Amino acid sequence: MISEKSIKKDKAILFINGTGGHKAQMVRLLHKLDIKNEINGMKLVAICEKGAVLKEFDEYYEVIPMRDKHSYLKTFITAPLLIFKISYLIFKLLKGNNIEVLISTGPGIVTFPAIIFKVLNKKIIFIETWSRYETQSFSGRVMSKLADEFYVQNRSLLNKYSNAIYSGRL
Amino acid sequence: MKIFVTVGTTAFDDLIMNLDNLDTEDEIIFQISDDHKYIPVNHKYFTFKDDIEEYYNMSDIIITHSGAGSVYMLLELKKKIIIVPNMARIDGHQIDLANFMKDNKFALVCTDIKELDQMIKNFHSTEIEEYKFDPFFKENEIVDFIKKAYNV
Repeated sequence: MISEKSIKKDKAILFINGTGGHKAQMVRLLHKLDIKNEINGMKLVAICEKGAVLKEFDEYYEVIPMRDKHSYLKTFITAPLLIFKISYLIFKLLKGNNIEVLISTGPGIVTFPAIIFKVLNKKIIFIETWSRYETQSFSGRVMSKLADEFYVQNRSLLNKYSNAIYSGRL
Repeated sequence: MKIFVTVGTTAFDDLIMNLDNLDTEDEIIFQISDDHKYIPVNHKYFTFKDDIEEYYNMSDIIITHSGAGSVYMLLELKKKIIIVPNMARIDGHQIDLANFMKDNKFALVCTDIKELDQMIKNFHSTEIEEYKFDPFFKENEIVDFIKKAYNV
């Protein structure tokens, strides 16, 4: 017999972040949001680049980075495989949880899940990387079109993105 | 003098190799990345770790790649630093951050590794400005947005 509890899905927020600075920004963001207290009882699920998992995440999956930091060719080869894997993970997470919000600090791996979220009419919060002042990141360029709330941490970027909200620096 | 060099999570062999082979009496400690190809032979090194702050505090000069995580943390600790952007990276964000720090004189910035030796020698006589920034202030807005999305 299936109990009512096992059918009911947990409310969950999906986090997507990479390693290095992306991870550092997510650590600071969760701390700022005081996530465990402010969003009490909600599950935190995540898709992270390898090595970028935060201790706050209740359920998470690690993936390889989409863009090779030194080579376009490697990026060209790994990107399609990764898109396939991430799509699978997104649908797996959506099947098991009631996810309405996606939050990301980059990098580019977030763009594909964001398209899925957009199609499903779910909400997206994106925080453009703190390392940009005069140039746009790949994920920033795409996410500025997809995100419901698009934040920039450096004031100079307000000239680069018409819909950006200045948030101060994490 | 004690010099500490940090490159974060991405290999920056040019920088490590250049400093490792520098003709100097200074003691140098390197934090190298996991995907390095060059391993220091003349000085001490270790691979990336999160609790790096103790090395920051025991060094006279800190040389860092232009990764924002490292740079902001060092500037928040009020450290005077030399930033060397890693030009081997394809996305170009290291130079963006380095230019900002250079234009505002928040740090010493070295875009040509050949000039690093001289920059180390002039380190203490070079003046910099105190780093200031607006701390993140949109946390309540984001929490409200999330609550609204779930009707809680």
